[in-house]
Amino acid sequence: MTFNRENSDKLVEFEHGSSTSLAQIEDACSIMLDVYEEKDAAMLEEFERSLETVLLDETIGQEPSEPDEDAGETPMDESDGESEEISEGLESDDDLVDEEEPPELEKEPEITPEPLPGPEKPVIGFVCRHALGVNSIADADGVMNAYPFVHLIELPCAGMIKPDWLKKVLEKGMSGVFVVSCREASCEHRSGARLTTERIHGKRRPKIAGKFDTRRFRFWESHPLDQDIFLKGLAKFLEELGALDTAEE
Amino acid sequence: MKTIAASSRKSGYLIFRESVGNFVDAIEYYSARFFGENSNPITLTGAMMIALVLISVVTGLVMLLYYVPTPGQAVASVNQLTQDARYGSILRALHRTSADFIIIILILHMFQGWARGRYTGSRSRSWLTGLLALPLIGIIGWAGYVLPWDDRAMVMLAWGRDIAHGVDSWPIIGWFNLGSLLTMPIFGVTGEADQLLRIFALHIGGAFLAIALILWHLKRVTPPRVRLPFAVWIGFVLVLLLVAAMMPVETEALRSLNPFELPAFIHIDILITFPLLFFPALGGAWTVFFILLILAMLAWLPRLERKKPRTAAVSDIKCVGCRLCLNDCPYGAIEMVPHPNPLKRRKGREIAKVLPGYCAACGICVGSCMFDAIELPDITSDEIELKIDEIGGIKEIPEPEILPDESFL
Repeated sequence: MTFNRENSDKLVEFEHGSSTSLAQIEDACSIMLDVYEEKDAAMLEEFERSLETVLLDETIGQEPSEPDEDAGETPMDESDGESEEISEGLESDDDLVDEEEPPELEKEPEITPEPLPGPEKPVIGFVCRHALGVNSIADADGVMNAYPFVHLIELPCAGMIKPDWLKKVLEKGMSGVFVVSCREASCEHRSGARLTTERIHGKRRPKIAGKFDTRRFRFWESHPLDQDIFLKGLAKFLEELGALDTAEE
Repeated sequence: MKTIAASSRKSGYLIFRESVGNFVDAIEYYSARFFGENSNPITLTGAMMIALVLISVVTGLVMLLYYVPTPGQAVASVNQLTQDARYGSILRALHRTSADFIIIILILHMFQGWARGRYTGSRSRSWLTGLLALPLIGIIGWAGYVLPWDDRAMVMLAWGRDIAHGVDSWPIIGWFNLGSLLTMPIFGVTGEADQLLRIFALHIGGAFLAIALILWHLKRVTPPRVRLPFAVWIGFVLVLLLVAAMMPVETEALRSLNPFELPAFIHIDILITFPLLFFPALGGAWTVFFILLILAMLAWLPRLERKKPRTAAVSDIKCVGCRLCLNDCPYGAIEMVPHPNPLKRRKGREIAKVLPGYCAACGICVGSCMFDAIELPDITSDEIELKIDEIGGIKEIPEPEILPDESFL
């Protein structure tokens, strides 16, 4: 199986229970190769050989089958636990080091003329603890007082957000997702806002793997005293989401 | 309910500290509106300190070209600089003003660090190294005022000598005989010359020590914001020049020949030498005692808030040694160590390790990890994904097998 844009969001299951998309694996392999290239060319060769030879079946979402007994020279390298699975779906070295194009986030959403109250499906917001007074606008579970369908997840820093979470929210069929971070200049942990922005824009690993509907995503830099500005922006965003949802229906 | 329970446990000190912190936040917010987000002086106090140290070092080096560290010629050389040399008086005033601003900005820097609670846990190291700067800058400033060897210098020297002798009467610190350091002859030079030389060395050496202290202070923070934006540089230097022009340094009269006859009135720089103001009432030893007491109390402050969020933890199983967390951690709290598995170690594999004393539990490493190999025990990514699932209302296919991962516990 070859890695490409169409199947990049399919999941590979690992032995220890977690699952990861192919695009992520490709990304990881390229990093590991970077690391190994620096260290030892021989080790790199060995690593590449293990990638080529050690391979299981390519089925995704099915029970992983046993490795082919007749495959002959396939010395299963015990020390490369994760490489056994991740070498699946990678054909050549070019595939490993190819950079995926960052998703375009600058695209302006299409706004339908008539305003709508908001989407029916839930919206999730990842909020930096220092960027917004969450307690004043949401209850203890993070449900916003003004919009019961908007759930806020409070984090110690916006830098903690994994780009995959944003994607997962939309994959779950939710209407939209947004991030609220500190302002970059006054970020509590100095680089949280910057790192998250770079990751979301695909300028820094980990990136958002595969397709990501940027019309359903917003990023705000905020300050607890800027709550009004955030709430206004959120109201507009929710309006747009509602319009998008009805348009899709 | 959760928040009420949490707030009821807060001590009065913490409530006070947080309300001051909110006030500082508001000042920062409106200052950012006025000056602009990236040139907000409230967030740039650290970078301003470094700019000030640079200015004082550069002006000090130029003044060094004129200065003669002997009792007979010190006053004359300083007067020559101030009166004859072109821009000499403004240079000297700039040196003095930058020293004054160092004290002001240092106190502001410490105050906002305290108000926002940026002195607890992993940040207590920076707090302590910053605290050391207070007495050090006091000593450098004091030595700087002795160097002209004028009447004011005599008063300063007398006070300094009394303080040193006062400390000598203390049980343990007294063994070091600090008082004799000021009067003992060196290099075969006796009398006043050796004292002046020693204080000259203290001023220059203290500056080196201060620079070393700044580097130590910044060591933990990656990447520290040490550069002032160009516009701020311009504005800052203009302010310094303005203050320097408005308040030129006055050399006191050449000292009277009788060393025991101290002048009745001298101009005292309150910022640099404010502890000495209490000296006449308290005496040398007590002044030092109170200074040390205040410093000890400030150093003890982090213990008042035992805010110990559990630091990030790495899973040996999942970590592949990709170094993404190492690159992203803003506190330098991650180091790469050889893999615990001997087979992998032999192949040169590494895994990330969290240095708990440096970790602020900000979670930036969690966001950087593609393998869920590093987690904050208080809020794991599994919990967050579970929450996303709950909110989405869609049940996920149960995962086949999950090995217990004890390294997070």
